[in-house]
Amino acid sequence: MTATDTATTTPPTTTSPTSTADAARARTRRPRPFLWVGLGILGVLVVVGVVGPFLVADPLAVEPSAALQAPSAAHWFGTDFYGRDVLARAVHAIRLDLMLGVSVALLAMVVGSALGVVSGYLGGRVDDVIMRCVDVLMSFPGFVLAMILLLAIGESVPKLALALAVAAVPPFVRLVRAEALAQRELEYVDGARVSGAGWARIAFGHMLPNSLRPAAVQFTLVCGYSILNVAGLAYLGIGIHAPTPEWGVMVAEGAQNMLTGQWWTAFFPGLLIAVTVMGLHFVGDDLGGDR
Amino acid sequence: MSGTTTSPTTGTAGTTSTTTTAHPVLALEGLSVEVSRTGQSLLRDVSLTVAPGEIVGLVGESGSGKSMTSLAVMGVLPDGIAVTGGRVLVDGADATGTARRSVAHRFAMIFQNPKDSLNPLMRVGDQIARMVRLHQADGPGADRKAARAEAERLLGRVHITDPARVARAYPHQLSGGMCQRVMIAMALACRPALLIADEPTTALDVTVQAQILALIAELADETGCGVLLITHDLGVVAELCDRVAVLYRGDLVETTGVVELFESPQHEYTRYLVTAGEEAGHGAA
Repeated sequence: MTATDTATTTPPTTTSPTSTADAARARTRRPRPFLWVGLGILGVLVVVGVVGPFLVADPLAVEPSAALQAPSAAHWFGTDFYGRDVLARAVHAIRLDLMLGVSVALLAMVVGSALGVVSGYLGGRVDDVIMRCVDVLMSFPGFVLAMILLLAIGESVPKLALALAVAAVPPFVRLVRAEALAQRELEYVDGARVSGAGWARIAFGHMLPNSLRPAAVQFTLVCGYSILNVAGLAYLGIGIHAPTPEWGVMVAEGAQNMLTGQWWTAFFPGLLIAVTVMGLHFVGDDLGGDR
Repeated sequence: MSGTTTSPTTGTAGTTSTTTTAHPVLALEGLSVEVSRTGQSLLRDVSLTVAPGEIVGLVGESGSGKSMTSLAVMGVLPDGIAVTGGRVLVDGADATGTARRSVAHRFAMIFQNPKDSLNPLMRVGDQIARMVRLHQADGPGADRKAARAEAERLLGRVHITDPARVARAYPHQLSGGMCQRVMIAMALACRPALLIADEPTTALDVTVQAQILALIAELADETGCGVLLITHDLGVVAELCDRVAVLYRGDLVETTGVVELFESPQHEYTRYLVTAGEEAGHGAA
């Protein structure tokens, strides 16, 4: 907004880029609270995820005598049914959950964006085939698709990431394809064709970088959803199993204690899931918002 | 796909590349273009030549096939549209239907919307330097640094003040006129024998338009490259061109000198174009 306003009100200058460059600088100075809050949350999580495991107790140490203690100075988040420290387990889970979220989103983005830009640039039959495959994928609910895939290929952490990534690919293909369709009409693409570039160079070298913005937003959202899905699958007993410290597993175990009043066993891992997903969404919202 | 022309195939063209001046840089002989599926005709029997250093205007109303002509010459017609007849001669050698790479090093092209013509995510200096590296591999294109220096020199050549700073700018930081100058600098980096300018000034305001046209004329003089100027603006034609070809619904109705075009238009449609231009001119004045 500010860039175009300034550009139109200043007299046209053919010899100096100053006016629009100034406007561009002014634009980047706009306060972006959501971006910084989101990045702050993620930053704290990453630091705690890296450093924390060295500072807290053993997440697998069972101590029946200290079972189901309420939060206290000794156990900040309390202890669970087996007397394990909930804080220690929650902190150890950060690394696994964040890595799963990021790797699922990265995998889906790389595959989806590549397919999307090829589909958008080449069009015709290639476009038809890719988009019909995407339609098939989209006709399954993502969570159920990941569940079925995971049960079919067997359970392990890399396979869990793969199954969730397959389910997350379709929106990337569609977003990047839509953007590529708009970019294809711009003359720099014709310029590249005229100067002799082949289709792969044009699609991946010129159009992909210019079509990635919606995918970058989707990336942060998929990170968040993937963490939710990992937790959801773990809650159902698929993918990651007890006693691995993982937020979804912890919520699933703690849910039984909720009925008898020991709320902390499920509440704290649940809170961490919520805060993490919220941080990722804050960043995504800021990147996707109009500037 | 049909012809293979890295060397002259016609018997008359028994000359080497040193005598390119003997041939027009571009000659169209009865070029026809059709939509493959419906057989709808877009260009019929278009013949046209551009000599080195000559500026030829190609005028006509919207949809008359001006841009199709340029795309056919460059070999980048959209899918489903194909050349169905005639020949494209480059330096006297048949280049019809050959891969666009084979003509890319002889031709350069600038487009209508300068701001869309540059990759938004590359600094303009890098975009020019890439052309230098592609097309002047024996000279400054041999290494990265020299290519950057050559890019800045070319920016100076198109009358951009402070080329060092502009070279580091992104297209969105530049005005439309500046972007078009950058495009011309990129075209120069290709050392073209023919520059195709597809409505290069339509998106610019009148003062900038005049500067850009003067620049094109100046560079055509200096480098001796032919220019095929596609436009619907007869004012631009009068100012710049040596000869004019008039297209009407895919037919080339008249090819004439620029003075004759205005003084004694032969074809009815040309007469109509000229008088329409005059009326619009009076209306504005």
